[in-house]
Amino acid sequence: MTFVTGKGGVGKSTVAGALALRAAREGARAALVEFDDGEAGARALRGADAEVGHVVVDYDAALEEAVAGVLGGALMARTLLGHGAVRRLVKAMPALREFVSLEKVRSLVAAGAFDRVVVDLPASGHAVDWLRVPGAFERFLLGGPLGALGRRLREELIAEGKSDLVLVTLAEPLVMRETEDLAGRLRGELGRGATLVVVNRVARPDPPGAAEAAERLASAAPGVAAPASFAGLLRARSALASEGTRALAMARAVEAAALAALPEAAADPPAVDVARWLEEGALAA
Amino acid sequence: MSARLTVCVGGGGVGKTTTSAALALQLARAGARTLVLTVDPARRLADALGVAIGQAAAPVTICPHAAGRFFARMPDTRGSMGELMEWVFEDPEPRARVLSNPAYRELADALAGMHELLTVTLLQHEANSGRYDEIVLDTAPSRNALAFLTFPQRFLELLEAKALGWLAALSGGLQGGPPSSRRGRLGFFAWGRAKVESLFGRIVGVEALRNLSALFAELINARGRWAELVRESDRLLRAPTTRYFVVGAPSGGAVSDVLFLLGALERRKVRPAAVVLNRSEAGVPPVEREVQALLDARPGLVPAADEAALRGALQGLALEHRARAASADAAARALAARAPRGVPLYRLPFVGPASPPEIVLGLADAWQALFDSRPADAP
Repeated sequence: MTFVTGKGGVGKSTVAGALALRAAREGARAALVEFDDGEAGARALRGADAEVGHVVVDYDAALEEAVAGVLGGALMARTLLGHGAVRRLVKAMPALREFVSLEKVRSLVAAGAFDRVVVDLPASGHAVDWLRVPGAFERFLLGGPLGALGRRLREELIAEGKSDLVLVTLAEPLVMRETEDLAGRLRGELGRGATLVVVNRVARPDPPGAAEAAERLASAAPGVAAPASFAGLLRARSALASEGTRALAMARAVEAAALAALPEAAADPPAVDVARWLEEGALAA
Repeated sequence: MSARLTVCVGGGGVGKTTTSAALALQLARAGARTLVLTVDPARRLADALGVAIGQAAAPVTICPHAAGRFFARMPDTRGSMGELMEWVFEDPEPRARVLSNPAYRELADALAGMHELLTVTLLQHEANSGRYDEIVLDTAPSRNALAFLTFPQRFLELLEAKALGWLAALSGGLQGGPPSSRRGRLGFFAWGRAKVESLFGRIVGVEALRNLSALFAELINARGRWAELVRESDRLLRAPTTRYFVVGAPSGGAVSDVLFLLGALERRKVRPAAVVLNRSEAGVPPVEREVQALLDARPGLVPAADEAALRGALQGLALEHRARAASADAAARALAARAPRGVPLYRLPFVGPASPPEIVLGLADAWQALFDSRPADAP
């Protein structure tokens, strides 16, 4: 099982789709799991050249399933959840969403229909907050069946060795610093490290010496303003490229088991392309 | 006097925080005392603006033309729970009981809805402080960003409905045996209720139920304060002067986030003031076209190696511009086709490569140009 996480807009869903697709190409029965409306996964998997199961978790159904599992019957679950007071309580208790979603993932893995389950965690809130929920339930609901389920989720999904954890990030030092923080919290609060750090959208550099060439052009054509501003632009781009290099060095320092860097591309590359880049190890260190 | 509020909502990765900061800067440059309040702040922008996360509003000094009028606050919701509880429980004794309740201690962090409550509390506090004319609220980068509109109300309903009274009473029943045993006569409804109680107790566990029950009993006691919070926040969020901007960027995911949020606003009967398409590039900028023209018109002006390097750089840039402009046009078409009639689409440029403060300054200029060209939409 693989959890994929990263802040919004870094290409997390596409990377998750690519990881599932890669497993499918190697012959595994692979699934991509997501919690939104399924639109992001569907877009990533468009044009996929191997079969990937696409599971969109419906919260209400997952809640009923989880409660039925604990109580030992769907009818009892419906009686409980149909009660007005309980319904209101459930609505106002959002950590339940994380808990129930993770239980859905657990039961999906346990059902054994897939060899590889890749979970695209929601961008809002940090992965740490998601993955801490079972432990919190375990401590708080000590002794009760939900507490026991919390322990089970922690032991079967979240403990080191039970799942891979993929962090998707960008080649910018400031974004990378957040990724470092995240990796630190994963270690501190969950006692585990990242399996793979994917640095997305690494810019392709301009030809070497282009900025200096633009400066020489500026002095060769003193009456024209554009070459000087162009030189400024190229210098800024080269500064950005070296920041990217610095960010990659930071990514290496995160001490993930593996690191991959993906090239910058037009918006929304399909998972097929991203899977190929991952296989090529594209710009990997 | 209450400040005028602008709410920016949008999915992740669209540059919403930068765009909101730029809008606030532009309002400040135009003379208004302006605060940008960022929920779920990224450390990068806090660093760039020179604001510490979790502290009171601080002046931002990236632009001399807004000196003394531009402020930012980036609350750490995780750290502000105590502040909220202090506000709700004026009496220190019940407050201490709540803070030491195991249910509160384990759940406070995990309760995502609490972020919404905190946002609303802070917003209200700043809006009524009299220190600002304009407040720009940069919501969490999520499709659920609008939850803060309804969460306080949902929470209040929970407290006022018998739901919690029922739960709060359970702890008494739990002392000796199952909750239902304290009821003698069992009519049909009472039977149903006893059944639900016992199921609830079975699923949650006795010890936890006792803690939860005690916590909710305290929350109910303070319901007057919650009601005040809801009333005030509703007034602010639904004020006729409050504007909602839905911010997106040129990628399929960002566009579908915008459409989702437009639908969510419509369901809440809120009409957006505009859809903002960030990083919406138009094509090759003049500087690059002029350098290209110069190289074409005067061959041999620089050594051949220089010319090759320059042409190579221009070619690479042209590819980037073309890809970005094509995505931007596609996104603009998709949004124009599906946004509610009469809601304008603002295209903000791609600013870069630049540092975060430079991007904020660049986007503030873009906001200014936009308001200059659309005086009717201007603040």
